Amino acid sequence: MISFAKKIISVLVFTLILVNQSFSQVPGSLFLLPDNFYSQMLNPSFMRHDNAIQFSIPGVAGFYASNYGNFKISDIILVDENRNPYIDVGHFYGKARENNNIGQNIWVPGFFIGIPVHNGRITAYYKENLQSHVAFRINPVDFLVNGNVGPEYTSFNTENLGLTLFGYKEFAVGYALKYSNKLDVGARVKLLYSGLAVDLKNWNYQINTSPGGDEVHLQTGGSGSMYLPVSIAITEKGQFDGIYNEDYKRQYLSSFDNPGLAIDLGLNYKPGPKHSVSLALRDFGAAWFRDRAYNLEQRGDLNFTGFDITDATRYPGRLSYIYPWDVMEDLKDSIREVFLPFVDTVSFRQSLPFQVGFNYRFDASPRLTFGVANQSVIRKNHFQNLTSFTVMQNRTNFNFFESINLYGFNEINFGGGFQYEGAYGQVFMAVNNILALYHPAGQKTFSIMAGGSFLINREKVEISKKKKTSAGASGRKRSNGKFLDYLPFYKIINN
Amino acid sequence: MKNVQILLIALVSLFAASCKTDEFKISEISLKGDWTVPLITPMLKGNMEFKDLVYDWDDNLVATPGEKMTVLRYPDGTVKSIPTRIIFDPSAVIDSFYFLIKGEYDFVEMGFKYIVSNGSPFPLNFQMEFFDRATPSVLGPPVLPSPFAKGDFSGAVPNPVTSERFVPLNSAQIRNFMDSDRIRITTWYDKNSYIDSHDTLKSNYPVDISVILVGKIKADY
Repeated sequence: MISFAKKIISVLVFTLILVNQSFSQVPGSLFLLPDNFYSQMLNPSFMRHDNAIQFSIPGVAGFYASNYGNFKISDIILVDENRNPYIDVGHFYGKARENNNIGQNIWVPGFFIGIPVHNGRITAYYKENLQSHVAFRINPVDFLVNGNVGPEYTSFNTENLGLTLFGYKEFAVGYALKYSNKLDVGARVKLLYSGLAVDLKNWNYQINTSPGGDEVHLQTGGSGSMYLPVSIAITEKGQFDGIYNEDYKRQYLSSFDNPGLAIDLGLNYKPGPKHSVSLALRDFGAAWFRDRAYNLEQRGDLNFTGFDITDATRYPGRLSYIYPWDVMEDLKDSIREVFLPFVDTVSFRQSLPFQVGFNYRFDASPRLTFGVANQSVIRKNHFQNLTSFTVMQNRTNFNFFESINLYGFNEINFGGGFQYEGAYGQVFMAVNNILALYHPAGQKTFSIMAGGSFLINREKVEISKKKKTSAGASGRKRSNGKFLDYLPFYKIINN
Repeated sequence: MKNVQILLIALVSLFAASCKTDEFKISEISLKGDWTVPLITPMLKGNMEFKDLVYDWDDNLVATPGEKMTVLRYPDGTVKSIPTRIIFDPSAVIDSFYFLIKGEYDFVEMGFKYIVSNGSPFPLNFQMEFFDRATPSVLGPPVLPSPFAKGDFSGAVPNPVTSERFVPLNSAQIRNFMDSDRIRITTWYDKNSYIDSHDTLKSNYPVDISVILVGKIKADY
């Protein structure tokens, strides 16, 4: 078993070497709590092994939020002596790298229910998801600092700008089966309904200024795809000109267009009484867009030499006289059209980032557990990985855990959290970067999960309150397992 | 257990504190006060001819009896007789030209760079005045560079001469420019000895003008 653990750790270390880009996955410590309803959403083979019905409702179910990137929010937004926030581009210019990226993930479960069935458990949930990711080179920041004055700044190109926005509802039904005394397996089917999808690839803007400054060449390029749940304005030339002023929030929440499908698979294997290994393959699927789905293409090109006053002089016989207002309007439209992408109705597919979660658990004692969790995400051409090493203390109603989280070999964070489970409910909070609890803007990566659920029909065994406790050698009362005086003592019956 | 209680309270407190440490509303964010971006951009251009900058031809032209006249010869051979004085008197050749510079930004330093290729036999004066947007009939302080050199008429074929000028704007002129959306352009030529020996002038001596805006822009956000 020890050699097996060594092999696991070797694979994880090798994986870390491959990664040079940070990504904030869920707090890996949760994989040590298979009865936690969020971890059951992460691995379909995780389940409670009692007869309790577990459910949660909006507001109580909590949320998951993460921020990841290779720069901090506080690299851009600072506060002055009166704590007023301001954007400092020059400060960011000193911190930015050649390639920069930042992204956020947010989950908000709407409801969750887990019901015991013969030899297993059925779970179902509804969750709102929102993902965003921006990637850019230092060039735009360079322009915002240095402008286009001076021979060294006459040629500007943002190069590749990337933007991904994806918001969708997730309706999931899963079944976890106790296959044997050593093996639990699970599968989940998820129906997806998108509220927002924008994917811009290789978006770029170029500004080339002549040495004398009398000519500026504007060029735009790039392609992408877009779905919005609202009507969009399209010009006569077929260019995207904004959205109509509709109640976007309501449209987003009530959008059931463009369904998609995804599946999750999982297993939880216990080769021995103290060891277990779990594996989850998540989000293997995609959303297909047909309604209000557009292809975007930028291909603007304009040589700007200023407002032309030649034909604005009044000279009898000059047939080419143009009213100055028309000159201005025509030029304004020409400049504007450079930055408006052409749209074309099209069908496209947006794949979910495929995720692999692997966890190894070692129960050193009933009160002490160690775990190693590795989470990998395959997002387009990027491979992102997070490894978490967790120590968990198990008390009667509480679990406390502390973790070290490695993002490749570039970043290390310290996390932690707790879970409380009583007769009627479960509450938890987990973070993978403790410092983010105090100063999230000062962290490149952090994630936090918190939520609560209700329990019905949870079996319990109450021990007589007359049981005496014996004093230890120190003279202090040895705990009888009670955490707080007013909470009864519960013992979980394992099936 | 007591330590665990303390740890739990500390975690919750930290979380609550983060709401204070990094709390701000999107609407409260401003841009750093001294952040500016150097920019250079063309503003006006014109491939004009001599006659375009002589007079506002939309106005009636009345010659005083007995005053000196000059003949303008057009490329098609036709001629037009004009009072000589109008060549050297200021004329608002464009009395109201709309331009668009509106936006959430201010100029903290600004000037105009002129590149003029003058093929006429006289130095050219090119004056700009900006109308105040709020009070449309009010003009701000004029922006007038020194005269642009005349063409080279020393050879058999006259050649245009290109000259550059840079005129920095003072704060009043910058403010006037930012508060404006229309421009008046007034031009006139400087008199020299060429007019004394030439009664006939070509109407189409080329005069190419480019006005470039150079400055430091600051977002007013």
